[in-house]
Amino acid sequence: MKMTAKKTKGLLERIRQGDIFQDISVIENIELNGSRLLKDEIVFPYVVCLNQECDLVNDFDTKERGKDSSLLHLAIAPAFIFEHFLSGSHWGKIFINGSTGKRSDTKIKAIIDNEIPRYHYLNFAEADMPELIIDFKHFFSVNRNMLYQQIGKRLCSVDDLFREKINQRFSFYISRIGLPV
Amino acid sequence: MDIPEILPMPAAAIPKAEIVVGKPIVPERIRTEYELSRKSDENDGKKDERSS
Repeated sequence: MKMTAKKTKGLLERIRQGDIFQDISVIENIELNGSRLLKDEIVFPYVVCLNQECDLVNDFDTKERGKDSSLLHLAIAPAFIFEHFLSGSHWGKIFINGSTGKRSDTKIKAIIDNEIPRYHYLNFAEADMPELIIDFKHFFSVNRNMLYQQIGKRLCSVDDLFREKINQRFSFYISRIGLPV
Repeated sequence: MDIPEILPMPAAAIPKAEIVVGKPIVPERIRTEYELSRKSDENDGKKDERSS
């Protein structure tokens, strides 16, 4: 099967473009109800950092936090286990099950070949990483410091060419011209 | 706004996560409730302090 991702050998102190984290939550709402505080969040099993690499470098190297080259939030996109994507159950109970597919289907083959702009398929050279798929329609931001505090949840960094490909395809998808329906 | 520094950490000291077998592997929506203590009542009526 075609390899579309490879881990870097080591990890840097700083977060890199394409870093994959595990169990990152995105706060949806915080509500005060009498003496009770209600926090709604979604925990994503896998997320990929989408920030531009030199922004992350400048942010990390900034000696004084609070300068405008510092980042407040980082962009992340959830990544899903490809087998769940095929079964349409990759969003769990958050969305109703999507359409199912087989690897032999023409559309799924196109997704695996990264020919459909909305999706990015990640098949790692390393056997310890599951097949993942990113759906560029969904992306979030997390507080920069909160993500650094959870750096121990980082599974891996993605090697240069592969991480740049993720961002190139993300920016292509997000900058598409919308046509009236 | 006071933004806390992230302490520099040698790369080797950064713990590396490993895939946990058996944990949920689809996104999960979670609601957590916190009971606030009465101390927070002391702030009632106080002006919200925000940076301008």
